[in-house]
Amino acid sequence: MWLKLLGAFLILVSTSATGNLVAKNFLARPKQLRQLRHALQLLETEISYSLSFLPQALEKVAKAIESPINSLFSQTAKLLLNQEGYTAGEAWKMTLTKFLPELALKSCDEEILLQLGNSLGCSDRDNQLKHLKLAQSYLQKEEAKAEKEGVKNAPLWRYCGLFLGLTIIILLY
Amino acid sequence: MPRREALEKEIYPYLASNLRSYLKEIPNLLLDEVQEVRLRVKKPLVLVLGQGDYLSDYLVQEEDLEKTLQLMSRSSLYALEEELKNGYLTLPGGHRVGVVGKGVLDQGRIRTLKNISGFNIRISQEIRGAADKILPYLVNFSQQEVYHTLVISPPQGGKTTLLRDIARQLSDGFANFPGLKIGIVDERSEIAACYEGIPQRDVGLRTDILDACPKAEGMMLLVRSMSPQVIITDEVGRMEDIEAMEEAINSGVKIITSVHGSSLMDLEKRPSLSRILSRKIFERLIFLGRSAGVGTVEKILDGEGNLLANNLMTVRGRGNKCG
Repeated sequence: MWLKLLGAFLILVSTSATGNLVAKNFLARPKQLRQLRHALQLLETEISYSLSFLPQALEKVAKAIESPINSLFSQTAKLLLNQEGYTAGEAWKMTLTKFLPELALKSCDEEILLQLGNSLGCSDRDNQLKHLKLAQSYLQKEEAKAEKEGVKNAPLWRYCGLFLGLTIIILLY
Repeated sequence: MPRREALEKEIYPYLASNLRSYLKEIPNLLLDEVQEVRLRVKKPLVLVLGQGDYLSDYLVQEEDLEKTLQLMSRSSLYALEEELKNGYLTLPGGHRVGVVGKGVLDQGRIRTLKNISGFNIRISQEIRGAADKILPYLVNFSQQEVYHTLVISPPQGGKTTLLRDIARQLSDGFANFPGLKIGIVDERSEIAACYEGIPQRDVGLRTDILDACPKAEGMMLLVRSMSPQVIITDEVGRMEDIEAMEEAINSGVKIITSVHGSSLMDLEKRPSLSRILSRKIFERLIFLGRSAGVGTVEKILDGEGNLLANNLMTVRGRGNKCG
């Protein structure tokens, strides 16, 4: 009797935890997109007002935002400061391929970031701002979509987990 | 730092990797003599040496130039708009890079350059003691004063190197001459070679440097705020520079500056300079040339045009230090 109850409890815990995990991923994406957008905004300020050099600007941005998004910026800065001959675009791309698997972002987000990388640092101030603004607006759109998806899907997955657990228990009983 | 070392440490990191690996194949003996590295699109890479050009068999490609520009601007072209507009960049270490390409115009003036088609990378060198032999002519020991001095030199004659050493020695003091407060307006970051505000070259302990500021405005700022006894600038020529110089001289500051040219006749043809020369403001005129290698002092005149010294000293011989 007790053993059965314990088993049922374990099943319930594990299925709802899985559901929660999936739900969390749905919520993490809009959050990370928001952080990214914030980071690009900071970069914009660094470029347009302080006219900092890109590596230093990236370092500053990395300090101001939270993990895990900050690693994108700190790693790119590091690659540039090492002076191994990478352009900003190349360094950014290398960093993205390295860190994206650790983030909750999708391939459409990746595309926006890669696009931005192509113009990073290689044009005048107005042009830099234009590209940064453009990337931000794309990210904002994705963020809105992701938010909607999150609101819809996160509770769904949570309940799914819970009910799956309950179903299994009922079937086994 | 010898030229090859400067090249390897301070220039290579800013070159596209193709160029870098090509230069590594070139014998060290040649690299020791390099004064300029010339990159022109679809043309061979050229090393300008003390005694002629070394034409390499490497054809410079468009993407080499593009990548080099990105590396030289440290991926921050937007931060160097002003410099690019004037056709040059300065690398950490004080090496100046001339840039040409297609001009993008805005109301008839250059706004920026695109389709970069050529670089001229000039290796700058610090030669302590470059001014040793001419300093006695520049100062009045009894009054402990410096004369207003104009250094006249063709391009690449070693005038920046000379000015830098003059600044250092006047600032630190030499022989029986006490150090003076020096102000440098370093419009092109060549004299003190500031990188992020810190001078990469020794310009003396009583020296204040106004980095990357227009000369005219910079001179006035120094006079107002730093009470310099001597102001040193490089390559004057515009009318407003001359006016600012006169202003500074009127407030009792001594001026040491340089100008492109090879004879007095050359200078008198330029309206802004002929004005200041006719007023005989400069008390010492130093003519540099290349007759016995870069940095040869051809002659030193006083304000009245009397010859004080001629042709007797080289500031430095061909790539070697002497004097």
